[in-house]
Amino acid sequence: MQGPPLIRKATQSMAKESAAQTVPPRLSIRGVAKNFEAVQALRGVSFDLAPGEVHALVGENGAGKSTLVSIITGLQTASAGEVLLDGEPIHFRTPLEARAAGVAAVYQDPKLFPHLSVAENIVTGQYPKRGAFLDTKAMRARAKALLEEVGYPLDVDRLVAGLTVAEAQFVEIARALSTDLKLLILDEPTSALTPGEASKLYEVVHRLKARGTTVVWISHRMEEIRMLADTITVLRDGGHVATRAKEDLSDAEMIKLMVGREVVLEQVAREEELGEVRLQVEGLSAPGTFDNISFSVRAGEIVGVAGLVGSGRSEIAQAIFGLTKGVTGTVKINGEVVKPKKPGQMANLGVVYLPEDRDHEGIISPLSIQDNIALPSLKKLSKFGFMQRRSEREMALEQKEALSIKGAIEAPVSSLSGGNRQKVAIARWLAVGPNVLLLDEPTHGIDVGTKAQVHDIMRDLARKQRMAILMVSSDMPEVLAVSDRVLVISRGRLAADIDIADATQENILAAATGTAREAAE
Amino acid sequence: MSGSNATTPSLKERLGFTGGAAALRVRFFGVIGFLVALIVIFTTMSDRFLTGDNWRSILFSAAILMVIAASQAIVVLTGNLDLSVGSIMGLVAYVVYDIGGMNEAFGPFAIPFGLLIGLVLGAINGYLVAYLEIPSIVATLGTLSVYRGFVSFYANAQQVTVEELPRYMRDLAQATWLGLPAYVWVAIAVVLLVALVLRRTPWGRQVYAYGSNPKAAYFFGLNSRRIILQAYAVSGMVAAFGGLLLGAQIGNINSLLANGWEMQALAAVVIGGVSIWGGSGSVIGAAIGAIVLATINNGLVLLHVQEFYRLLIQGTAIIVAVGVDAIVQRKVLSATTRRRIMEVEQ
Repeated sequence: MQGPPLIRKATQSMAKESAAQTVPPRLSIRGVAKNFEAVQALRGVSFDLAPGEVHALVGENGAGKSTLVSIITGLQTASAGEVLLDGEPIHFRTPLEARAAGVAAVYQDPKLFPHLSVAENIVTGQYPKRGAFLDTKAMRARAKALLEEVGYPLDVDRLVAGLTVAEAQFVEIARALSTDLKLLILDEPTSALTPGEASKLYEVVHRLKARGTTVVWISHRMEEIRMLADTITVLRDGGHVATRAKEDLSDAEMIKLMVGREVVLEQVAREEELGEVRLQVEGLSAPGTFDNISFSVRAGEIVGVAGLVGSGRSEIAQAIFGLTKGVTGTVKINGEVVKPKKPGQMANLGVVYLPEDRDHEGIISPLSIQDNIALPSLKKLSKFGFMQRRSEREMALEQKEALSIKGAIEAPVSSLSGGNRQKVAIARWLAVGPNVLLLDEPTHGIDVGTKAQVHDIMRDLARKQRMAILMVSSDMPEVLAVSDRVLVISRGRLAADIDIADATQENILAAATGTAREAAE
Repeated sequence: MSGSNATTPSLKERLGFTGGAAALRVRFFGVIGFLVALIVIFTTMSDRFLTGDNWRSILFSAAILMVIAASQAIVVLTGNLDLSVGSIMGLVAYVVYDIGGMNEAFGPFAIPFGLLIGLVLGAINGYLVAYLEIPSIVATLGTLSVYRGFVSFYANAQQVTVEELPRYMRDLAQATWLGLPAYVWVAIAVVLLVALVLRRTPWGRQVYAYGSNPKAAYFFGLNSRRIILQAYAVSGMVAAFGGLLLGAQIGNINSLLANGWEMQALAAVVIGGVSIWGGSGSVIGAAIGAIVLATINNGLVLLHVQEFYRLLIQGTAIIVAVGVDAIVQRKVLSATTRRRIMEVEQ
């Protein structure tokens, strides 16, 4: 699994020595903070990256990795703190400026121009010119040379639209390689690659490192980090937790540092018995997204679905709600086999889905609370084709009361806080009287106080109103506080099904990152 | 590991017929195929269709629309629209020729002055769309009225007469060079110039890049706003030139000159295979789109078909073109944004 140890050791100690002498760190992050309105995405992060090292950046979803990257590359500006490149403070206004200074980032899904050729994509922004015009010959030559450098020769005249995901990924990496690349940031670069393709990428990283380029490797895959990284930095909840040499940090310790917060949300013991199976899923698969997922949710039960963003969690919920085409396997609602085709059909069966992006998909923000709540029940509320305003109002008031939504029912939903908006989103579906609730990140972006209220509502819905709830969540404390059982999805597969009594942050994250699987093998 | 299959592409791959790329090519050949089909149909139905005189007439009637289609294409390539082109044409033609008529010495400056006005009007559109983030369909619908309203106000129910136009513009409108109307040569020159700028200058490539994937442009650090503003400004300038040509051709100019041309221009662009989602298609395609429209008009007149059928056929062509465009776009997107969550086992 590991590369030749001698060479790795040598380059590493060289990097360390040079860093220890007078050479300034390649990148020095000093007290960088970033606020998005009330949310603190980064709170004073400081650490150094040595020249020519591979620096793994790890942390849970929302730990602040992406925000940090976007600040380094000039996509966003920090609220406080500074970043130094080779000892000089940098203030890039755009990623193009960063690139000119030798700092480039490659993102998880390729961000290329599909209608243009490979060559053009590679030289965008740094077009070779002959007079006023583009020097196409030089452009093609340069693109070719860069692709050869990454060890992935392609026909540079092909359009990007015709490439596979892996090919596109290598085009992006080739694009990032300028002659004087000082820092390359790779954000989950192997998530769309096959093992063979990934190993090609590892070779590129080794070559860059030998040239003295510092590589930031953001990944959730422990085996990759073990193999590639010299140094590991752990971020958690927007703060810096640790920066250590790889040898000084075991997998178990790393996971502990990633989740190591105190759990503030408390569990509430369940007194009610679980009822009959409401939702049962057997061998559910969608090509390229998830495979052979089986589980069931009973009346009165809350099943948490944990896993990394992009592991296929949300897609499973969406497939059950009929939002995905080409799904195979069986879905049973109250014991009856159903083929989920359309959301309307599933809603009629009492299945309801609350999307993560509630502002765009979950509610209609310019409309009032009342209108939003009434929307799915329009038929029930109308007589002879006309809306009955009074019963609409009654229904809205009833739900508003039940969920303690703040604000007048005539107020537009856009005027409410995030927490109250989410309650409206829940209320409008509750008015339909569902028996299976699929919630996707139900408290994403909601303050702690309201979060607890939403959790109470969920418990009440399950235990008192006997609904079956499937809750997809990245919020580990939430998963532990609310769930009766935790399903962990890892790269599209059901990696673990843990009873809440045995669930810990550590074993959930271990299953999600595939550490448990490796240990078992 | 090194002898991967990426280095030895199949014939299909080498020709670029894979995934979304194939779809893009199909659309480009579609326009030419459509034009050929029209020519075949009209030739079999009327023996006067495939004559030199008739083709001179088709090209002459298409000439100005080719220029305007080129102007519209620049904006459409960024994924936006310009509904105000007709108003820009009218405003520029009226104002420039009116000033020229009042002042003999102004004559030589008519074209540069007209282009300058077009640049400013286009830049206003671009500012509304890029910086105030008003959806282009709304912003330019607004300026369509505002610019036209300005001409009405300025014209004050008067018109500019043929005698007031600069002599050289009148001559150009009637001249024949190398057996074709001078306007046709001018239009071809403008189209080729715009095509050259878009295809071969860094600026033009950025217009394509932004239109192809605005999100990637953002992550890449392209100055998206400036690209949009400049695209509108250049487009306004080209439209202004088209307005001057139209004014000189018609002679007596009133405040309604070029009213409704935006629809013809959009139709030509869309039929010509420029994607309304931006990023793909060519100015030459748009010009061919203009010729297609002129061919339809001409053929149906020759066949003594009613106006109703002309509109019906034109409308159908637009819907088919946009329909194909939508399918192509979906193919392109699915090829590049498809994310594989699971590992492919080997």
